[in-house]
Amino acid sequence: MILIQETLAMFKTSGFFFVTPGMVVMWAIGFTLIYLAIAKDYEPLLLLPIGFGIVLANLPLADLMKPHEGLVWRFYHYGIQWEIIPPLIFLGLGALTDFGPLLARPVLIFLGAGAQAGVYITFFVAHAIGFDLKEAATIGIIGGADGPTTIFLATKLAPHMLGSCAVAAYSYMALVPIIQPPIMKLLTTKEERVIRMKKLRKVSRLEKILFPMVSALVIILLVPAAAPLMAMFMLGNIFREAKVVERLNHAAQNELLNIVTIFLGLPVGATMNAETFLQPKVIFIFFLGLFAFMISTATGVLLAKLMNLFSKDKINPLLGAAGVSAVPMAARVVHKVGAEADKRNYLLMYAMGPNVAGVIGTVIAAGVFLTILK
Amino acid sequence: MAEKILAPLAGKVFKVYISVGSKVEEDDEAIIIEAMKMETPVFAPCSGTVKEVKVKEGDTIEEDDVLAVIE
Amino acid sequence: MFEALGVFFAGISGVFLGMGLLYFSIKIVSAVTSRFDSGEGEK
Repeated sequence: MILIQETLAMFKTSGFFFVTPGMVVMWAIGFTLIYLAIAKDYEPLLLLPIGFGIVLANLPLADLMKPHEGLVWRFYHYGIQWEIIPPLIFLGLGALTDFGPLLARPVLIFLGAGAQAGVYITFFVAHAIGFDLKEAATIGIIGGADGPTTIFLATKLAPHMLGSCAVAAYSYMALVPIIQPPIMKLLTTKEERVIRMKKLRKVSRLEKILFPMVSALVIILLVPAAAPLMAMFMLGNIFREAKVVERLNHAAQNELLNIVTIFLGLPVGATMNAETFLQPKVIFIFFLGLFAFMISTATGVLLAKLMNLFSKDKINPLLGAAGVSAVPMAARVVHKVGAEADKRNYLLMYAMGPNVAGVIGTVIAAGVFLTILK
Repeated sequence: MAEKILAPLAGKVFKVYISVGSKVEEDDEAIIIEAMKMETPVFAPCSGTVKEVKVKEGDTIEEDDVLAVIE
Repeated sequence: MFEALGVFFAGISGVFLGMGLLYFSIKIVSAVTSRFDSGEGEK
């Protein structure tokens, strides 16, 4: 009789009886993301852990996301809610970033600004559709094409949308080669696309060391809310340019970045449980996210065209699309579209200027949202 | 008459299609450079015979490095 | 509606202001550092 009791107890604690249809849908979504990551190479470093996190969060009784008790909840709480992981990702990104192409042609920084206009336009449209200000801001920042910034802002303004916004951001980043070219070609003429850029001047080592220090000061003083991300980003860059802390530089670019990436994706995915995700609102997040990427591409290109009216050395307007800070994917796309028009035009390094400027722009945009809406 | 093929950007030499003595036409793909995980072709600036090839696959190159000379 | 407009304009001006400040900082830093190099040369 005890045998039967024990066996019944096993069944009672088994999750199989508590599975809902919603959970099964979420499993499908999670496994689809994993499939896209593995089979199609869609941002696998993030979408694979996110996909698995989604599945784990929708396993009843496992309680992996149970507050104060769940393993994954602990990663989420101490890593993301405590705002430790996104800034650490930025430490690694700063160490990976070469600001040379930007410093060689500083005016390109404005293309990084222009692309952020898409963030605010999307914010406005999202609000008009019915999202509240904080939700609209989180949806808008998807257009900045920056995963950690999106996660950082969502955690602070709209945590219930964290998972969806992150998945949207990373998915569209993977789709940048499909999203951007049609818009770039629509808004530019053949003559504009074949513009050759003036040769980049050589940037001295001193400039590259001073830049992160000066920018940290300027940006953090201007928008203190952006401090956690900007401080880590610039510290990482100082590690890179100083050349005397190669152990720190190497760790930031490799071990640290890789470890923190693991603990970024998993908990973010795990916030997507069936109740919060399977709602009609969420579809709009995905449409608006796509809209954000498209508009940002457009505003970047249009600003470049505007700038050409005032400058002697013409800027190839395609570079505006690189202001969408999917580094270096957008820069590669700019190069490819440019090469289609003129195969001897090598826009890649020029495009890296606006591409890295866009990262700073997105952090400033997020900082402004935080300052006004918190 | 000799024309140099210069590297249009910094990166790694991915593939070298030409060798000393081979004939090239203008606009043939001579060398492929890899930068930012993207392969970019470098084209022959003129038709002629390859006189020198200064790089091999795997070399790291800077912008404006001489990659080859064509006569 | 108006609050959203307010955020919109504050945001875009904030980003351009920030980037503009950075632009000038870069220009100043390069001017100062090149003065450094060419200054030494003239000596």
